[in-house]
Amino acid sequence: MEAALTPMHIAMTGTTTIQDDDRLLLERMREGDREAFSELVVRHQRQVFYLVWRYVKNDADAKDVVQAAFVKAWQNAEAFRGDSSFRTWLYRIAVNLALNHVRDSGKWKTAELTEEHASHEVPGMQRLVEAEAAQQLRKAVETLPPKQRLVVELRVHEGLSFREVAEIADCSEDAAKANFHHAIKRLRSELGNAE
Amino acid sequence: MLKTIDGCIGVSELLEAYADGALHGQEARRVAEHVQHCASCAADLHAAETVLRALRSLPGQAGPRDKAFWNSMAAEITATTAKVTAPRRWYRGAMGRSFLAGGGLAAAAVLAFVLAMPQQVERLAAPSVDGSLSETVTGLADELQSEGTPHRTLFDELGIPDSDPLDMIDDLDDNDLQAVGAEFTDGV
Repeated sequence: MEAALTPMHIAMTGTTTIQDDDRLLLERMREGDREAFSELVVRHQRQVFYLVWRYVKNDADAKDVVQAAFVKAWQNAEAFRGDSSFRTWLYRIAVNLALNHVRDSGKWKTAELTEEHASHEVPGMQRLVEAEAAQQLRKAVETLPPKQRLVVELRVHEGLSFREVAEIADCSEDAAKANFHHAIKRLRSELGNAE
Repeated sequence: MLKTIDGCIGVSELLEAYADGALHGQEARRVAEHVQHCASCAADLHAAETVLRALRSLPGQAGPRDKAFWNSMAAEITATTAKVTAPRRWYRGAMGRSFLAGGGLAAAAVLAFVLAMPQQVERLAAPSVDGSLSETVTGLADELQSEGTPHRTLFDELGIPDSDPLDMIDDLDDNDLQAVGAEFTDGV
């Protein structure tokens, strides 16, 4: 585990990154500092919510899962070794809880198109064709094997590096890339079959 | 141009990551040079780019949220954690329990020795020592019992199991990389 950042370290090295700030906040959180925890919530709740939402498909469940993820992070802060960033650790907790929730509730829903998508400025027929293609693609993503889907969600929608994806998916970077390779190949094949 | 099978091994599974701009240095150069002279991989690269473009153009599923939504969610999370246990300290973890259990066993051994050999105790310890030992053992037993009592967390309340489904997924792992290579060698 890397050494904790001290004010002296920050003074000597200049500005801190978001990860460094997270580590400082995490250190304080480990001491039971609720303000530090609240700051981490404000920083990360949006991305965690959107990630979880893609699995559970509704606001109420997504909020419950996000809340549970943060509570788990709070309770287990002491056990966090710091091998990864706080963000990837939190994502891993959230994804596990989301998968548990979906499994237990038996909900593997197909994505519904949002108003946001329906309001695109395209003529009626073209809009319909695009909407169907988008729905088809989203459905294909959701039927990927779980780890392949996770790698695609984290890489394409969350913009995480393969190293971060590997930490969350609990595999090597090469395995994350291999999962990505097979996922894209599979999507390509399924979309090709649909045409 | 014919597909060079040997050259494709170790490159074809990197095409998607390359198309996504995730490769750097030698790895990226290797893929770039390969697709220059391998029509099959060049076509696969183009197809991967098309799929990735389509994926990125998918609309946001949850839609935009206003500031009030986030403020409310953050407040709920903070309020919930205020009701649950603070971050675990060493004496609450497995190590701490082992330490306390070890201490309890040691104290119990001393007590057994005291009870079994009263005449030696008379020689070795004053009556007040017996009293404090007994209190220590009782205190430790109470402490161990309270440590052993399952603590109900929000997860119990929500009925969310503490398991790790990703660990149970039998997808691709490091061993599968061998199999990925085997796919190509089998075709030779």
